[in-house]
Order: sequence, then structure tokens, then C-alpha cells
Amino acid sequence: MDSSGYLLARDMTTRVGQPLIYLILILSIALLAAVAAPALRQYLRYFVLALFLNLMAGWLLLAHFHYRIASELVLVDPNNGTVVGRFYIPVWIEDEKFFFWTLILAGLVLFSRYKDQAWESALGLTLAVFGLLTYFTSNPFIQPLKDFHEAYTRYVMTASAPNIDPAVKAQVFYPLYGKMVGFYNSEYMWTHPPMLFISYATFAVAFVGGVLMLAKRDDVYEALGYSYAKAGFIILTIGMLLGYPWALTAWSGEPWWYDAKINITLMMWVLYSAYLHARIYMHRRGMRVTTAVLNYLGFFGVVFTYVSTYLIPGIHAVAGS
Amino acid sequence: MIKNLNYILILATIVILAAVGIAFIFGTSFSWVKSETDALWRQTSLYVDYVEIMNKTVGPMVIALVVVLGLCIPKRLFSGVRLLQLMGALTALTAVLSVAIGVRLGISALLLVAMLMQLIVIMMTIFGSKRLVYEVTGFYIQVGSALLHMGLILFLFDLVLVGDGLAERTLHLNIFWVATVFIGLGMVFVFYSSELSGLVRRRQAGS
Repeated sequence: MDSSGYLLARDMTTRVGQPLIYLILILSIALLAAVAAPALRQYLRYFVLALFLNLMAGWLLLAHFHYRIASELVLVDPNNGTVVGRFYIPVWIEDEKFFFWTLILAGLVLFSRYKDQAWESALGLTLAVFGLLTYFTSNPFIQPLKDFHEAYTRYVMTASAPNIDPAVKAQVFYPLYGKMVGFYNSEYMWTHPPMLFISYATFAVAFVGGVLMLAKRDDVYEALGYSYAKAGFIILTIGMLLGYPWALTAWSGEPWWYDAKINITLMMWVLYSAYLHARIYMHRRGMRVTTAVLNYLGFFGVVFTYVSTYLIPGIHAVAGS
Repeated sequence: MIKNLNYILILATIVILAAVGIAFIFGTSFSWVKSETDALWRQTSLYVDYVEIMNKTVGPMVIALVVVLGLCIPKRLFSGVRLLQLMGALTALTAVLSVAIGVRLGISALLLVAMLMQLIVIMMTIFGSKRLVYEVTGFYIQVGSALLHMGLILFLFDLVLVGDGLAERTLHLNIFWVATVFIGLGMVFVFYSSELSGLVRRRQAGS
């Protein structure tokens, strides 16, 4: 099992990725400055464009790394030498999740057709916050695919070491094989997670619309927010539904119903569903504020859903695993 | 009358959805607290108790949601006193069947009736029947609403069947995929009805 090509690719991803992530930090700060300082506001769109291009470059770099994983690494059953498969890992796992979310948000901000100072500034501020969070909490270039790398390294070291009990080798091989089949290479991996992250990005924009609606008392912002929320809701619903057959297969026999993450995700869907229902009667007394509050709660639900993965242990969580 | 009934049904839906949301917050908080004290609590009988509590809490809300959904269906076909009579009859039928043969089968019966009605609604909507009662105008939004409701009914019916272990995995997933297609198409038609009709108009003008 020669993994030198993979290690070179991982090293290159770190070396090229670090300058990119610094640029993301600098551009996020520049974006904040453009929102805060009227003299810099004329450059806001350029900063958004630069940030988007930077994120896209970073994402393509990660995609290249994943391509190298698929072409360089194989999983071999250590007890009989049979090649059981390769790793076809999509570019939205581990620290890449938030990076992908920020990339989609940057695209939405860049291609927003409504040109208005308040709208552009609020979106710019939101994107800047996401850029900063990406740098400080989800840098995918420091240790690219850390969990995968650790699991694969442990497997290679155990499988290739002489005089090791076959039972011990099996203990390292089978969990990784199970994860390869049910997680990394699952066809649902290409639909369920990205659809959710795309919907999260649209909900961030919808949240901005809801905040501006009440702050500026202008229904234009509400309509703008709604146009994103409805697209996000379709994508979220289908994305969540696609997670169901995956859960039946991947967690067969395990207790996953009412898992904390699943509870919160359903709560988020319920809140957005309530928001879209309430909006039908927005012209009625009290419903405008109700609609806005449901929109805010929905987005807090999005944030909590994402954060819960790292906070609350469970079958769908990173925490405690 | 009908407009107020719609408003009441929408408000009822919002209230039930909010209650379901609160139940999920409770479930999450409970899981969180338990995980902090015992990392392996999901392998203990405590988890079974937790699922039972959640079922007891969320179950009635889902039933209420199904009843509201079931009551939403006949409003397309009937109006006025006849609608109220039918709603009353459906609620009574569900209650009687639930007591007689169990809540799951009672709810399944309501969903089955709603499904048949919704099939008629879809056909009549597609063929442009003027007899249907819609509070929204426009072909695509009406078709979308009909498909979306059908998808939700199918989805819930599928879950109720599985919950009782009455369906094979393959049948369950087949119904699930059909429901997903209905829900997806329905949402696109409802949310983008004006864009769709504009697209069709432009195509017709161009040809």
C-alpha cells in the first residue's frame, strides 16, 4: 500500500491552501471595513467577488486533493490481500462543510440581482462573518480531512505491520470499510449534505431579508428574503427526505429515531414550514411580526442544527465520536 | 366562511408545528443532558424510555397534524354546510376506528380516504374543473398545492404503515420515493407558479 502520492497531495493542499485561507481572512476584514466605512463602500462588490473567487479556488484545491485520494488510495482486506475499493469522498465533509456553506453564500451574495445599499451592506456583513468563522473555526487546509487521514494511517500501519494478530487487523479494517461503504462512498453523500448546505446558505440570505424588513419597515426586503427562503425550503425538504433512505441503510439496527441532531433538523424544518404558512396571511394583524419572528427562529434553528453536530453526541454527530 | 376556515386551519397547522418544534427542543435538551452524564446512554434502557416518552409526546401532535391535513382535503371539493358535515363525519370516523381497531389503523383509514379524495382533486385540477374550491388562482399553483398535499398524505401513510410493521422495506421505499417526487414537484409548482406560467406563455407566443 504505497500512499506517498496521497501524502504529497495532502502536503500540497496545506501549502497552497494556507495562503488562500489568509486571503479569505483579509478579504473578510476588508468586507467588514467596506460595510462600516462609507468611503470604502464603493469597493464592496469587488471584495465580494474576490472573496468568492478565493473560496472557489480553495474549494477546487480541496476537490483536487479528493481526486488524488480516489486515484492514490485503495482499501485492502489485510487478511486476504483483496482490494475492496477506493475512497470517492465528496468535498463537503469534516472542516470542508462550513467552507462549502460559505462558498455557496458568497455565490448567492455575488449573484444577488437586487441592488440596494442596505441590502448589499447587510449581505456583505453576513458574508464577512462567515468568512471570519471559516478562518477561525473551519480551516480545511491546516489538517486536510484530519479524521479520514487518522483512520487511514492507523489502518495502513496496522495492516502492513508484520507479526500482528489477524483479529487486530480486522478490528482496524472493518470500521474503515464500513465507513467507506456507508459514508464516504455512499451515493446519498452526493445529495443529502450538499442540498442541506445550499439551503442553509439561502436561509442566511432570507434571515437578512427578515431583519431588514423590520429594521427598515420595508416589505421589499421581506419579499427578497422570502424568494430565498422558498428556494431553500424546497432544497432542504428534498435534502432531508433523501437522508431518510440513507439512515435506514446506514443505521440499520441502531437507535437513530429521535437522535438529537435529527430532532433539531426536524425542528428547523417545522419552523420554516410554520414561517411559510404564516406568510400566506401576512397582511392580517400581528402576522407580519409573527412571520419575521418565525424567520429568525428558523435561522437560529439552522445555526443550532449545524453547531449541535459538534456539541451533542449522537449517531449523526461528530461530538463524542 | 371558507376563507375563515382556511385561516383557522392554517393557524392550527402553525400551532401544531410550533408544538412539535418545542417537543423536539425538549428531546434534544434531554439527549444533550444525558450524553453529558453518560456517553453510552443510548445503549441503555433509558434510551428506550426516552423514545417512548417522545412517541407519547409527538404522537398526538402528529395525529392532530394528520387530522388537520385530512380536513384540508375535502375543502377543495365541498363548501359551506356540506364541508362542515363531511369534516365532522371524517373526524368521527377516525375517532371511532381509532377506538375500535387502534389509533394507527384509524389514522391510516383517514389518510386513505384523504388520498382517494386528493386523487380526484388532482385529476379535476389538471382537467381545469371549475367545481373545485381554491383560495388561490392560477393553474400551476393549484396543481402544485394538489400534488404537495398528496405527497404529504402519502408520506404520512407510508410512515404509519412502517410504524406498524405492515409494509415490506421495498414497498415502503417505493411509496417514499413517489411521495418525495409529489412533494418536490408540488413545492416547485406552488412556489414558482408565476414563473412557470410566464415560461409557458413565452413558449406559446414563440411557437
